[in-house]
Amino acid sequence: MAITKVSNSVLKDLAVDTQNIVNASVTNSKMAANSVDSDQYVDGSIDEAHIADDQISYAKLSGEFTTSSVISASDIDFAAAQVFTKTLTGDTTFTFSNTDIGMVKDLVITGDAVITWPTGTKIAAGTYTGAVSNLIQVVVTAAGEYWLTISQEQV
Amino acid sequence: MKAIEINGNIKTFRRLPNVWEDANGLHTNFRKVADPKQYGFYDVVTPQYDKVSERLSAMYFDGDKFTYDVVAIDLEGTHDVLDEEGNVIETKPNYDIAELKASKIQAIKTEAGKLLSPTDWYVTRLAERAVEIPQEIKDERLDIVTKSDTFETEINALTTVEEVLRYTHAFYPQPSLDEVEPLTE
Repeated sequence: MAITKVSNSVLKDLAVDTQNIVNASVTNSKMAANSVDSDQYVDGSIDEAHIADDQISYAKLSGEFTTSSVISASDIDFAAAQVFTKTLTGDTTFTFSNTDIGMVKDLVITGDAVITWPTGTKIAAGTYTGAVSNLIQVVVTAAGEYWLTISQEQV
Repeated sequence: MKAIEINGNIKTFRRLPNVWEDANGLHTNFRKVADPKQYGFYDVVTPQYDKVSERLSAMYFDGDKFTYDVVAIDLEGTHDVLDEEGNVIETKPNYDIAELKASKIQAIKTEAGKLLSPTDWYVTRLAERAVEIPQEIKDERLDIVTKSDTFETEINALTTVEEVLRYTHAFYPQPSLDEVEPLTE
């Protein structure tokens, strides 16, 4: 006896559920373009091989690498901005938070006051000058180890 | 001058360092610190003392400053000279008055020689060509030699080490600033 195939019109809407689809059988051609959004990715599942070369643009970087922030108190949160600014009105003790090895942050500090940096801070070059703006680059070279390079505008 | 005690050692600074590191971290622009005492820096106070008969002790901290004690020097005392086994082989004066006198006299003779040197050529010319030395040059050279002899006599008449150490001389004393008349227009 010949088998009569079931046509699309015989199936009730939404009648095909996951148990009626064979595992590993949904091919790329069965998916509509632009149909996979971030909810369909498992967290942490996009590895280096799935990012094409030369694709990470400035716009894709988080604010941690692209924004400037005024240091309101004395903590410099390395996860908050790339550039930090402050005008000192008195002696100030800075602290660093959310630091990781290799991070480099830029501080623009003005004010003729004593600055106390966290233990483990070393000066690679330069001298802080209170009368002008100081560009201070901080490099995290190890856990609790920070190197400062201090420079001023050349006029 | 400022000083700080670190692990029992006193470190002195002509002025506060611009960068300072301690247990609290690294301090930049440190010269602007309002109260250096908060960081352990105190003034160094050097007491007045007589540099001939007194000396300063090692520096110490007396609670609010670093300072020294003034210690009298035993100018007429003696000290023992020991051999390798610690036996006294000789007792010598701390200061040898004969050596001190000889040293001072030698310095005077050297100075006199330098003062005579510019006019030595007059003497050479007299010896070689019998050209007379001008009277003012003769007077000048005689004055130098006479003063040198006077200084030597004075030194030899001194009887104590302190007198010798304090002895000063001047062939041609410079006027003090009080004695110099200001330039007029």
